Amino acid sequence: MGNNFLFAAYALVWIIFMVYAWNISRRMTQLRKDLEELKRNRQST
Amino acid sequence: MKKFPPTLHLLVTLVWMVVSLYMIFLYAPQEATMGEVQRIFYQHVPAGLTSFIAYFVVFLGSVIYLWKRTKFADDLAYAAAEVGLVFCTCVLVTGPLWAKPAWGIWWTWDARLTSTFVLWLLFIAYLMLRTHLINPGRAEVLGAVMGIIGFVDVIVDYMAIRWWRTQHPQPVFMGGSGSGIDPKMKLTFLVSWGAFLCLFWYLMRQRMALLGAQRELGWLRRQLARRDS
Repeated sequence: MGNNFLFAAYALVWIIFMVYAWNISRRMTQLRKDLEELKRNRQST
Repeated sequence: MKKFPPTLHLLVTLVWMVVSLYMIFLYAPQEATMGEVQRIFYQHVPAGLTSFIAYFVVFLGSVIYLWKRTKFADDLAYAAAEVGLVFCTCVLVTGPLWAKPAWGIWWTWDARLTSTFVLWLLFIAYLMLRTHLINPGRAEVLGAVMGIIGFVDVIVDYMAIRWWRTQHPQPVFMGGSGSGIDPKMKLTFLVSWGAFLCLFWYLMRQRMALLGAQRELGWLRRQLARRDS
């Protein structure tokens, strides 16, 4: 019984950290895309 | 001094995390009363202390921002609030999962638990204020004022188990006579907290880099719009 709580606690903490790290990485990728698009638009005008 | 490369920083954090997991499950002795479930302590307490540090960084960044008006201080406070929210969420998730087998209840509104919940709400309120107030300069100032006032809750939260009798256990470190734990448990705790701090620092660096890049992109867009008009 206690082991289930222990497993749940550790699993959830790792999931929270991984989701946040993925979220930062996704925002950074989006930002790079926006920057590239801005450069492309600038060159085409 | 050469800058610590982010990839190396991530690698060090991951190795440190693996070492701490090894120590938590294979090195630290089993606690006599609670058994295996007590090992939640090695994530719950470091996450709690790290969220205190995160709010202290929010406080520090807010004070410096109001004093010097530097973008770096504002970014520091903003990043610490977001990363702090992640750590505080871990505290509120692991706490009830430890409380249920140890106390027989998931939650109780005692001073420590309530002030931790308030801290979590403060992180959210700060981020909401910063996200939804778009008036330039105003969001930063109001956020900084909130960051400073909210620090009172960190002091109350830290002292709650020293000032009042609570359902939450009394402090095991710096708690006066009768406090303290097995040396192996203490070492495991310190290694685990070190891993959490290393992860906190890594996430802070990433978040600050993102804030800097967002500001640069915004500036570039404004410059181009001005040139085109």
